[in-house]
This record gives sequence, structure tokens and C-alpha cells, in this order.
Amino acid sequence: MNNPFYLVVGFGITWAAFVWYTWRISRRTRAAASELAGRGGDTGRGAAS
Amino acid sequence: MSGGGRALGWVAFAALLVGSFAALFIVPADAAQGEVQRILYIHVPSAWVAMLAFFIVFLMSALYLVQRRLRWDLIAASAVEIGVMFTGLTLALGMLWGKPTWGVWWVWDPRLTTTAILFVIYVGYLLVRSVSEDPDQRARWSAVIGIVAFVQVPVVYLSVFWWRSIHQPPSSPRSMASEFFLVLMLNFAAFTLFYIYLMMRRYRLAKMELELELKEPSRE
Repeated sequence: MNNPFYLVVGFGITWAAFVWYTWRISRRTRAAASELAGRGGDTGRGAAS
Repeated sequence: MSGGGRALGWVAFAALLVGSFAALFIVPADAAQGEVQRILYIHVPSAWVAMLAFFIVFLMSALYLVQRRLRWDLIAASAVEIGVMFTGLTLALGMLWGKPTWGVWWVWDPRLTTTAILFVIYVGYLLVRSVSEDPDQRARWSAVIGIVAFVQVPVVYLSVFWWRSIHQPPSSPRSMASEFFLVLMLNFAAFTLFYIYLMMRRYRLAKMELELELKEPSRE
């Protein structure tokens, strides 16, 4: 039970998931912002009410 | 992203770093389980954030059905996506902890089974959203699922009390030494801050995507 494999994989996938998900939101936000700018939108600051 | 949101992101990142460092290098290893028990410090906070996210989904879904404002639907959808990620992490971390302690990656134990069902239900929520093209219809369907699905959350929590389970009961100050509990609380705080940060960013993205959807040429 002292095999470091499980700890390395556990903390590794957790951090990888955090970094990947944050990066994915950033990428999609940039893409949406540039598309909105192209269509004369307000870059998401007042769409839903 | 506002300055406050960015600052929250950095605070959450720093808190996660400190939490992981404390879990791996400061708190002593468990006397019975050894080093692998350190997975507890990320497994339990992941489960907590997933439950918190699904509670937000429940609240926002109910609000949507009462007020019919798409804002509540977008917050609920953002929370589901994040909750699904944390539920997936909870399951993966549980398997990594289970293999060296139970001898198997997976067992059809009540806590594991109900958590897997929870995961599938909310993946279903996201699938339902992806098939509807009308924002109001999508919000209505999602709100109903978001309310009904929440029934599964207390079932997961109480499964270790209701049925015979090899999964341990919830951690508390009475069940663990204070230094272990302190590091667990530190990670709870770090994961919660990170969740709030992700929610802010994901909600902003959801608003932009809705605006784009409403501006699609086929709708004009």
C-alpha cells in the first residue's frame, strides 16, 4: 500500500483534469468572443436575463 | 474575465497547490493504509464539489421553472458540466484508492454503484441539452431533469448507512486525527474556491454561446 504509483496517478489526473478543463473553457471563450465580435455582439456580458 | 475573477483564479490555484503539497508532504501517512490514504485529501473534496454543483443545479432548475429566466438555466448547465467532471474524478480516485486497499479496481458496492448511477444521470442531462435546439424547450427539459436527478444525491450520501458497504462512512473530526482533518479542510476550501472560479468562467461562456445561438442566421 506504499506503492507511489497510485498517488502519482491520482494527483496527476486531478491536476491534469483541472488544467485541461480550465484551458478548454478559455479556448471556447476566446472562440465565442471572436465570433461574437464578428457579428457585432457584446461578448457575453448581457445575453441571458 | 474581470480583475476580481482573475484574482479568485490565482487564489484558488495557490490554495490547490498548498493543499496538494500538505496532503503529499506534510501530513503523516496513515498508520493502517500507508501512503495511498493520501488520496483521501483529493477524493473527498472532489465528491463534495460534485454534490455542491448538483445542489446548485437543483436550485437553479427550480428557479427556472418558477421564473422562466434563461440565466438560471445557464447557471444550472454550467454546474452540471463541472459536477460531472468532479464526479468522474471522484470515481477514478476511488478506484485508485480501492485497488491497493480492497484488492480490486471496482466492486458493486452501494456507494460506488450509486455514484456511478449519479454520473450517468448527469451525463444524460448534458446529452439531452445537446439534442434540443430551442433554448426555452432545452431549459424546460433540463430543469425537470435537474430537479428529479437531485434525488440521487442524498441516496449516494446515505448509501453507506442504508446498506452494507465496504466503503468507509463520511470523514469527520471524530473519525480522524486533527492534523489529518485540518489538511482535509484545507483541500475542501481549495476545491470549493476552484469550483466558484470555474462556475464564473463557465457561466460567462454559456452566456456567450447562447447569444451566438440566438444570432444564428437561421433564427433571423
